[in-house]
Amino acid sequence: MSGALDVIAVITAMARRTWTVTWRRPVVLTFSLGQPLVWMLFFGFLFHRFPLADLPAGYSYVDFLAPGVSAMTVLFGASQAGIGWIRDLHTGFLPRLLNTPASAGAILGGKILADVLRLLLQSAAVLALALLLGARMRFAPAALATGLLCLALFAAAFSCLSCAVALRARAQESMATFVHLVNMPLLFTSTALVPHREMPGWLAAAAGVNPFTLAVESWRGALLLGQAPSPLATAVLGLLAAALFLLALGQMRAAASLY
Amino acid sequence: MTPDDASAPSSSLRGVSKEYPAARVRALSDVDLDLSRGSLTVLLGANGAGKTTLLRILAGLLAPSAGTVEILGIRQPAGRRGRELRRRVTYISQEPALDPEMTGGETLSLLAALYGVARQDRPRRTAELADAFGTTAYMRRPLASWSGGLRRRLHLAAGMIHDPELLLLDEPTAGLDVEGNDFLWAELARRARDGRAVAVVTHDLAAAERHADRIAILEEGRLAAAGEPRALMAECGCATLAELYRRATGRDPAALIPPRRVEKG
Repeated sequence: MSGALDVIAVITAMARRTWTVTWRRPVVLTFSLGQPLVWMLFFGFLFHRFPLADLPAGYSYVDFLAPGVSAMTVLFGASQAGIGWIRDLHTGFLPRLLNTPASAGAILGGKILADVLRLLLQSAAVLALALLLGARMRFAPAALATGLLCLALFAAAFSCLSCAVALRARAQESMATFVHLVNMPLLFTSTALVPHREMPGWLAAAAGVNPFTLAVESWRGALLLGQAPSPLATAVLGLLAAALFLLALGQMRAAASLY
Repeated sequence: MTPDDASAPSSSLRGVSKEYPAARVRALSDVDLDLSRGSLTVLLGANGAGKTTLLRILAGLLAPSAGTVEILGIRQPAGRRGRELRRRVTYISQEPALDPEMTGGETLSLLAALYGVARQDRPRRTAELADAFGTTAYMRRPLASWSGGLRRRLHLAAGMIHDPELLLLDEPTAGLDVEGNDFLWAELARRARDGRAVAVVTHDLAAAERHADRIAILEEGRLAAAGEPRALMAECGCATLAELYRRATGRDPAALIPPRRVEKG
């Protein structure tokens, strides 16, 4: 039995499982999609006269906002990715999966893969609505591909963090706290909704080291200006995803002993 | 598996003890036990006698405090060969470990993939097990809509998806109806005949008398009796297994039988 084939089979099976179970909950999906749409509408109408010193002349706030809210959808969705695993811990199903000969890395990888694909689809849906609201975007295929890669790496990183926290906390309530504790500060200290130059100095400094800013800027640059993100930004997001993947993997080994 | 392999040793415990220091409990004391290929062993004992601890040690899920453990020829702890053991052994927990949002078919198919069953073999393997446990008509429905008894049947089926060589079942009959019971014992007997080693924890003395090739009676962590039921009964001059149990443990066998709690389905 070939090892590599086994790993691919496990990743495929886990991705399929995660995918089907997610789409079986239309209410959850509706809310997680409805929320960014509401943000898009409110912020778009509230601040449509917002000065945009960061961007070349002629861009409106809605143009600026669309990639930001699209990335926000990924942040919000990814931070909840681990919640399903709390249920899987309590039913004993996750420990059961971890006690098969399949590698824990492939089990986690398959789940994260399905989560990332779903998050990218949801952020695309947000962009579709933004287009209806009159937001402008540029379709430069090469830049879009690397921008999308950055967004995907961020989605993977945060889904892994969420899984690690879920496996450690093992309670739905703690996850709700985590989601709020992490989402709001990351969102408001990023350039998702507000341009860098409009921020007070301390906030601009915080935004500069916020990994979410990195994802937002990469995505916005690609979508709005047709600029591919820098290799450095891509590498940093890649390393972050790898580190958080290992963190989640460590928590999974502890969960396997619960079977 | 050739007929010569039947009754060959599968796994063995020698002088195994297990303490849970945090709870100050000595769950097992100096237990010697052999499981043979082609043989069905029933483990009997009151609550807290150490049955589950024994089963988890036999599965390699728990390390003993003292003694030696060999599972399918692999000395424990298995280290890097732990993965090989997981492929060849099944430990079926007392409580069903399933995702209520998945269908029966999805559950078996996912576990088959994780056990390395080739994609083209998965549908056949899944269909055979659904048939063996009488769940074929429900396989396309989410488990949340299944009755408790049916879920238990699927839990048992899922534990056999990788055709394990060593089957360890912790009170699998609890909550099964008569039909479910029949399916289970028939399947276990068939697998034993095929040269697998089977060990079942149960409180059901009648079933033990009917199906066990060997029995082991645990009392407060010690092995009170072990061997072929007929030989053990002849040895003590007991007419029934209940009588043997009473002699071996000093307990009322009626107390062993839990109040009837049969889940529908």
